[in-house]
Amino acid sequence: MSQPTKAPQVVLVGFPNCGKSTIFNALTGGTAKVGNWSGVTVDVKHGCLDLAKQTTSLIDLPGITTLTHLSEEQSLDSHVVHKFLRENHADVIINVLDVSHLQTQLYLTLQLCEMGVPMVVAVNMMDQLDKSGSQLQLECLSELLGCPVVPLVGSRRKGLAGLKKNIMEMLEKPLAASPIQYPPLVEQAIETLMQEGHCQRWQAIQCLCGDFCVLSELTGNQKQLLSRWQSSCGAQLGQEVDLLIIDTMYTWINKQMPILLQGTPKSSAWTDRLDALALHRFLGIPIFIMVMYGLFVFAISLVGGLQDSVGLLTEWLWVDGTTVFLHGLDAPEWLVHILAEGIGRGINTTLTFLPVLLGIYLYLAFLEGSGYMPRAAFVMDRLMRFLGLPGKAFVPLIIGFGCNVPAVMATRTLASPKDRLMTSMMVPFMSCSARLAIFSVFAGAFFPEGGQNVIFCLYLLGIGVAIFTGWLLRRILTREAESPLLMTFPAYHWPRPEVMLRQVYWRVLGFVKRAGRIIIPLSLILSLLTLPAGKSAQPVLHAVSKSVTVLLNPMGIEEDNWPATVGLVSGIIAKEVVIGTLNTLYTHDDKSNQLGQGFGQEIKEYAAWEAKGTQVRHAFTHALGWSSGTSTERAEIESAMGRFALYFHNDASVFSYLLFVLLYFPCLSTLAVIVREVSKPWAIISVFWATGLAYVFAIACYQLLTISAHVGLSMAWLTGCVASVYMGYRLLLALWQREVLGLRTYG
Amino acid sequence: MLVKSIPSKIKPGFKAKITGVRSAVEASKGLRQRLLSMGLTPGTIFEVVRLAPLGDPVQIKVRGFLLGLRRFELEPLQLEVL
Repeated sequence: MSQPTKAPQVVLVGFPNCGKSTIFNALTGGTAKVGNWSGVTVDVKHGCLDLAKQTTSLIDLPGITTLTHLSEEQSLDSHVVHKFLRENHADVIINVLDVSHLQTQLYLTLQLCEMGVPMVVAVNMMDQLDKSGSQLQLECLSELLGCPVVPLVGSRRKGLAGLKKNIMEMLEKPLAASPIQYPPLVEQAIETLMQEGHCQRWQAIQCLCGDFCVLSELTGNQKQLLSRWQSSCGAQLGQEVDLLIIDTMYTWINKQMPILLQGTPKSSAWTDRLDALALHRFLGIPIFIMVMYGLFVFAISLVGGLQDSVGLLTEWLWVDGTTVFLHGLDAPEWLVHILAEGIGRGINTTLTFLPVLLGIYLYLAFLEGSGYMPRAAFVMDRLMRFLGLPGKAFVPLIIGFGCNVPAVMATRTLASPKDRLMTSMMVPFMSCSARLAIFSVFAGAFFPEGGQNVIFCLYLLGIGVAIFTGWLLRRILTREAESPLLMTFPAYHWPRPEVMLRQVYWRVLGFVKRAGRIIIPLSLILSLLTLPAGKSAQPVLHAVSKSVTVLLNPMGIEEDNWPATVGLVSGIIAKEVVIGTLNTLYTHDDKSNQLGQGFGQEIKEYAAWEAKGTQVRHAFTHALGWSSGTSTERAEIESAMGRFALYFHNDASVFSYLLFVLLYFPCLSTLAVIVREVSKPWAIISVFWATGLAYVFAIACYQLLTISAHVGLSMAWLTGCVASVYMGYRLLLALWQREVLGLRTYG
Repeated sequence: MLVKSIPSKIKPGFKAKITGVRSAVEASKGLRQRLLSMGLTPGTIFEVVRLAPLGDPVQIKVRGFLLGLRRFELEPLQLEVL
């Protein structure tokens, strides 16, 4: 991260969930910025911290449990922290401790002490200690560690003044040496390594502990030296050296704890009671499902209800508004089309996601702040490991049913890049709410009875394909050791609204900024395809679609149904567009264009635009519950249903078409976040994989449903389908094994 | 009683003392280190609090706080059942 000013850097380090972010927000106020740290996707927040004499830069690092960075495979978080601490020369470290987990957290404190960077220890959540009637000897701890110790109640902003004062003092004086003395032989090993490797004491210690980062920088000679010391320590002391080092620290902690802490801090009765329910042998999974169901009720029904209105509003402003405005300026038709349908539509698509994203993120921020997430990971772990994924991966997949975009973004909570990749590739097959809208229109038109069963069937097929994809990917990405679960259970908290809101704000802003950059250019390309070629000629897309529809024959789409193909292409922007496109094309097909040509057109257009403005207002009042559903809306859907029935010749072809819509091409926004969270090559593979599977599955489905009509032909198609899936798998495997296309760098 | 393969015997109320942690060569290096750094060092006593719904990750109480880990992650530990 490039720092524009040379302000001293103050860094917050501590366990996950120890309250760092709350302290960060309290100290920085509203000045925080999220920066990407050296190309990886873990966000490092930094903001200004004003002290009496000077302004410093405060940095909030992800939570870690140990300074030792164990392997490349391990969580990105610890990698970021480690890199930061070694390269950025923190001027002061604030080590935040959660008082209810003091023993293990002191281990991290001792490791930090060895770094020799000035440090302030902030003991957070002191109110929990008061509740259980125990006492912590802060002065004693301060003396032992050789650095100031400050009591805090971060959530109530207690103790911040003391913390600031101590940071200021620590900027001027260095830290005393670590209190830990290792057995003589280990000390000797550390000394030698320091001299030979020209490194600091803490680096030598981390080296002996097997730290991956430090080890990878050693020369051959140093490595030999290290292994010689490791084996001689092992031989003489009867224990391996890393165990000796850690054991020395814990022995020290054990010795000091009775002096430091009088009485045992109990985890709050509430946490115990809630855990008895949330982690219950039989109730655990039902409770998890209910919590996730709550996500849909809240995010999709309540907040997400605004999606249509926001979509309409932004369309009115950016697409229709641009058209009217440019026509008023007498701009050429092609320019109007590109600006309105390309750039305008891109902005419209990006912004349409805001309500659902807002709803989902708000709910997730609540769950994360409350401490339920680790419990969910614990409960779902065994089930997800059938797929080779950790329990945490269940949450992004579930969110996928609401919207694939936040689902892919939610994969960043997963520790290993492999898990993130697998989950991101599975998410697009979870049927999102936009696809549900398409299904319900078709179900209404073709399956008036039992429509819900058809939709449910599609959902199940989507889940099946996701599992199938996960299973294949797991075979391809030869899995090394799984990242260990080994998790702690933070106490339940009532989340702080300002922390939640800030988190939601960052995430939504991140989406708009980064996804918009990909969505708008892609939407521009699509607009070129639909550019009217001349007064009477059709756009390129329509002409191409008419000839390409033949390809959809095996899934029951006849040539006269070419609008179905156009619908699929325009559905790439966002799946819900499919219905709108089909509706328009079926209405205008074989009819002369009703728009008047020439002079009168602009006035008519403006009037239509104004009328749409009223419609937007209605949509909002409707979404907010201020008026009941409009009958025109229903009538519109009903007339659409009638028209659809003319073009699809049998139910099997409808079902296959819906299956195709479910599986094909992750929408532009999802694609944009896959590019961002995983990598560009994998996003492209996701497109080909999803579209290929959609084609194959839709054909297989149609042929199976109509097998009685033509047994031989169907059997041939089915064999072809199985063969092509297998070939797709072999191709992906070959690409992976040859290490081409940069497939191996992701995450 | 010293046991070789503990994971199958584990149920709520199971209490054991850690007598050793298998060396880095035998156990996965990362796992061994993480277990040690979370305070599962030789001499420590832990108790199984509960099992997850499908019986796999187990929740243990060690040094006064709760840890969740998978059954196989307990394998590097040499235990003496109490």
